[in-house]
Amino acid sequence: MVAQVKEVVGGFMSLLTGMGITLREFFKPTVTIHYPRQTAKIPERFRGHIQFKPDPETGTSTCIACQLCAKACPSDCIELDGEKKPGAKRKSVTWFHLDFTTCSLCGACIEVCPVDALEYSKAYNLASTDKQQFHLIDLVHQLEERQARKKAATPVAPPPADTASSSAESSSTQNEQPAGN
Amino acid sequence: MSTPETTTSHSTGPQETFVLNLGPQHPATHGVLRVKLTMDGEFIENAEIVSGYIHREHEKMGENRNWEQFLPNTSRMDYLGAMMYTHAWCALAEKACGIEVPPRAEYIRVITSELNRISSHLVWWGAFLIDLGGMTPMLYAFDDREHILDLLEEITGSRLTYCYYRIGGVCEDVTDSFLAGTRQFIKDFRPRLKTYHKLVTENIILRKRLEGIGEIPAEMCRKYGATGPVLRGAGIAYDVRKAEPYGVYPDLQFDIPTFPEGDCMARYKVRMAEIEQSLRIIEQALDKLPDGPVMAKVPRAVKPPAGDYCMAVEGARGRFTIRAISNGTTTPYRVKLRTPCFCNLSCFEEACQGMLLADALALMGSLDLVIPDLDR
Amino acid sequence: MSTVIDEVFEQFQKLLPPEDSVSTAPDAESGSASAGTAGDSETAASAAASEKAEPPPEPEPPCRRIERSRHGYDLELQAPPDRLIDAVSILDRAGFSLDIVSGADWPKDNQLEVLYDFFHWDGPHHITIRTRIPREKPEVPTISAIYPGALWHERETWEFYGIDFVGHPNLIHLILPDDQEGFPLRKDFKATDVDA
Repeated sequence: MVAQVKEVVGGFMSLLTGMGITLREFFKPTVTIHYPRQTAKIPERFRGHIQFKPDPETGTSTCIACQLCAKACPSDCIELDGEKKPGAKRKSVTWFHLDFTTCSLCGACIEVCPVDALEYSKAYNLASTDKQQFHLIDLVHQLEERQARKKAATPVAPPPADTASSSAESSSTQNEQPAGN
Repeated sequence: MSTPETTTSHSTGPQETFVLNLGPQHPATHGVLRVKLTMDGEFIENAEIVSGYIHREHEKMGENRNWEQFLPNTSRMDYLGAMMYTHAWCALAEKACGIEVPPRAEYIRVITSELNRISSHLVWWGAFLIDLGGMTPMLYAFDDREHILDLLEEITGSRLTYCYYRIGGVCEDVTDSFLAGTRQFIKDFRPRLKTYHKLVTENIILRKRLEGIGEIPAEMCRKYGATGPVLRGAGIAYDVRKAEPYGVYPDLQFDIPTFPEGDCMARYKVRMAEIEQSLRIIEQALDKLPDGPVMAKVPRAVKPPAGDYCMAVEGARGRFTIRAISNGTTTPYRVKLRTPCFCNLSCFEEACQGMLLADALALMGSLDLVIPDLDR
Repeated sequence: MSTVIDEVFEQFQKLLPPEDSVSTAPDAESGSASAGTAGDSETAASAAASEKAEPPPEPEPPCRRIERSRHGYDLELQAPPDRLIDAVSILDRAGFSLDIVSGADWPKDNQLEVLYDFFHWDGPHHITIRTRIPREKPEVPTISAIYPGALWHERETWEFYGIDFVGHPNLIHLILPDDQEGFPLRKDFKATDVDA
């Protein structure tokens, strides 16, 4: 009998304690971010899809088309080719196709690159109703567009919208061209 | 009392049973898992697990790619405890090739793995309580988990399927802000854990739902190979980190929390106590973190000598074993992945017999299932 | 070394004396007293030994110790299928828990292999039992009567390798769909077989 009463009272108290905690939380500031209006800070090492680092002097890619990244990729999502321009010592990349639908963002391509030509983009809100948009991202083309936009020096759009549109645009324009060399 | 029934159904036998399909799309199964339940009223007579809905054949993939290239696969089985699984693969290759990992890398592995373990247990805590009908705790858990994900994202670049460890170390050193942030997190999280206990653990409704429900005794665990919190909830102090030490775990002080009851509440308590132990491990590892390189000198192509290799780690759900056969080339000849969910769930069929359906769901939740881990 | 491993080692030696090669079934408990020392000398050689490098299997002792720091397990027993149940019972009595039942395909030897792994709660003890069976007639007895946890593992091994576990009460697909054709983890399996 005593035990039963104890249990009922104790149980009731445990419910009250829980409610007290919930009530206290109610008056604390919110922790959520209201996404389209506010955006989270994207850390330095964030892994978006890969992209070319622009050469600080020429603004083009430093890739020498050595194929190491394509070989290192676990899911075979990289295809590229290059040619030796007249007067140049090494090959330079002509097209670089990334199939982002199968990429697992492991970073093997970035680590294996002998000339440090690749980096992660900060594009996190990639969304599309069309698979083709990510099926074939041409990094050469994407870099050109990025550089052109930089040159035009238009007022900088908020970072998420900016990066997302750049990859989407580049891939969609690329799709109109034949994929082969 | 008696409902109008056809005479034929009565004539089938004194007890009427019916088949109830739980899943494949059911919130309580935490993924695409189907359970065919033969029910006698509200009581389960027989249960049959039907799995394989997200089978991806990781073992065959392992036979078709390099030792290094298999790394991203390991983080996609138990997606809530990706760090530990990646650790298993790296440690296996390191052991096979005789690669010495720098101590700093080993400590970083411990810190990140234990953070990952906490975040995994927090997801379980939130999801399990949703199964039992409590919506609010999940919001608390995800709030704290978010801090861990932010910390890990800062150094690994991803939030869930990390590919941070490499054969021979880790791919990038930790940042100072990560270390400071982790210390701050531990400081903030300890009082939060107390709040959790006050809010949920002592709650009378939870206790009535879990105490004495879904007993899995130690002997059943042994026969089925169940490990992790399921085994520790049956009173056996078995933890791969202690039993088959790897990395720098022997240098760190921690206890193995056990509760002898073997019921859902025991498994609940084990996981909550494990969070505390993980915090303890991280604190020590932060204090001991040595300077130095984070990557060993690794041969260009990882080529373990021919032979069999085994590596077990303590995942968030239990013992995760990789058994690999090398034939001396750059590609594994055979990769067998023994996942804790597979073995833990295999005793569900026996353990749930005669239980009420609602209690069986509590039992299933207390096993902490991750279906990609089961199906591989 | 640990005593549990030593005990099991002794019992394995009794079960399968080292002088008998793997292919011939042992008939009597001969020379079980001298077995311990003979097995110990094999410890160092066992680390580098491999099965697939040389197609004709060299007569090695069925039970040998393995270097844990390199390979991650302690003891290996090459048991013929008819001695499997006895060997597993020894481990059951010694308090081992079931870790893995898995398979491997060796098309060069025209054999399939079943691997049984066991671990112990008390410490770093890990024992492997391996059984080689011909590819034409891949049959081993089920160990699910001793370890019910093997029910699922055997179903999985059956669907991926086509190894028939004789006496298994419910040998149906576990992970693969019911209409799966072919055995995906066999080396000669082609994914196109299914699509065509």
